Amino acid sequence: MWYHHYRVSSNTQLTSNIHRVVLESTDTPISKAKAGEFVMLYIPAVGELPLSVFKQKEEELHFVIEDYGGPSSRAVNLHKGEMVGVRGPYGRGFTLKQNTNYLLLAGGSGAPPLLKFVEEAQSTPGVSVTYLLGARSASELFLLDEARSMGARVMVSTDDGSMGYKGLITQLAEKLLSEATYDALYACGPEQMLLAAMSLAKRFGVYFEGSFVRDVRCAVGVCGLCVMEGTGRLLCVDGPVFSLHELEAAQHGG
Amino acid sequence: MNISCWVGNLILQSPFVLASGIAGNEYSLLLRALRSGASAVVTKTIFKDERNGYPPPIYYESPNYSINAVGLPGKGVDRFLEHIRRAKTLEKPVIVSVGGTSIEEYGSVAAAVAKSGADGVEINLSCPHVEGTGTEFGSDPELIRRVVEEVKSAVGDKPVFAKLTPNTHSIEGLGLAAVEAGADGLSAVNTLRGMVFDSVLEEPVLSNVYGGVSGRALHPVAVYCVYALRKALPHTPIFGVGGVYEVSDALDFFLAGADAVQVGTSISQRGYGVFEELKKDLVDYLERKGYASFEEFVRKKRRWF
Repeated sequence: MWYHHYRVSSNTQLTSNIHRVVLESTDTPISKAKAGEFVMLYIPAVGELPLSVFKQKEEELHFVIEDYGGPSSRAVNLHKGEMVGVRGPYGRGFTLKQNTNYLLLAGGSGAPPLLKFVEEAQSTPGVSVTYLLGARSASELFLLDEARSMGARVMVSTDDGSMGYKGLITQLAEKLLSEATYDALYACGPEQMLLAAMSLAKRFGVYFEGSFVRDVRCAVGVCGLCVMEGTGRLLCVDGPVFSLHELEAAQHGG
Repeated sequence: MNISCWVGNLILQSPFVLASGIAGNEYSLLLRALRSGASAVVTKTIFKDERNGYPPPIYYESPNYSINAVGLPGKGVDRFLEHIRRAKTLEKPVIVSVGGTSIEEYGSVAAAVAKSGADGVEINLSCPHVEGTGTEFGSDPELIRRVVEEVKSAVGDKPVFAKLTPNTHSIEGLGLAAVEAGADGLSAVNTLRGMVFDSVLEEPVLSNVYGGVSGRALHPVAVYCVYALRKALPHTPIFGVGGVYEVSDALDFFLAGADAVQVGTSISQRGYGVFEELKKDLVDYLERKGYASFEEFVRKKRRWF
């Protein structure tokens, strides 16, 4: 089946432009997604958009959707009872290993796959998770209790200092990395933040994975539009999560 | 076992080439296909200017076919030239698919890519003809003639392949027009026009409403087109294109008269590993059948011609 069909069961506004949308399966639900994997959400007569899965139960799919224009503007306004199509899950998510101390950096709407990671990490032996959420100001922060209730140490950064650390999330991460030892740094957010996080990981010798964004259209490795430039890798099938190593091969045309 | 072959004046290490339209918009992807065993690549279609293509949904897949309406997005010829140069580092042929919305555009794009080192040009004749009334160049033999003449005169001695559409009552007529106008070879075929609905949502799936069918459903249609072209044009180099998943699909094309095949849609299901598998399975087949080379198999006289 290409599209699995779902009905919108709720839509909750989390910040001025971020909503939590819950769907309920009306036929066969999609198979289990791992943290970082994504689906294509089809809104009839509007279009498709790639979304990482935030939560998944047998019949339910939860997304945290940011309005960034195009079909996403319609997606944040989905109302109870509307029918949509979902295909996927696609791609490769974050690697989860036992006995690992993770530092997670979520920039704005980059939180959902990392919150899913926190959930998966809960039942993995020897894993501890520090979850950082960064935004411009306190009013843009969301789902902090969610991360706390799943056992993560939660810290926030805001550009204006209205809550938590005053400054960029990568500056907060830098502070933490110089105070304690982490085994892995995982990030999801704007590209600039990802690149800054990547160079931090390099500097501190910490394993890195980041979830990136490109122009995903077919989602099955055919159209080529989501190429990670110079790497020979496609975000839709080889990503959206890439390790430092995979992206560095990039620079050398490998 | 030697499975190399000549397609016109191009020597290929195997008869398995990456088809146009499949992740061929960037040099690193072309290199990946070549490193994965493709003997040559055909790039995504290049136009003079940047094109955005259609918004998603642009693709639909079922076990038996895919249908797409990507809308030929691309960065425009000027920005693509660097990618041609960088894709040529493996000494395997890089064939550039050229498009146009006018005859002049086909010519100017072809001239630019030929100068930048393209080893050959494939003319995508399934482009919308802006001066026409919503038609495509590819279904009108007279337009094919004019496009091929224009491209041929623009590229010097580089081989020119015309990629034909199966949406016609006479594939031979299209092939003859291309070859008489100077095409060195043919690629048969492009996608079949089609559409698909989601009956639960009561909507067409593609944002463009209709699109092009490829994959298994296209295969027997494409094989027939190659056969009809081979009968009409005994000596013209022909790439078979359409639904090559297994070596048996490629063998269909060779038995119908193709010199080599292009592989596209199956990559979405089988990944880039498909090229090495096809090569291995072709060698196994030829050995089992007692052939000394691919050339011997493909040149064998067949009673259906």
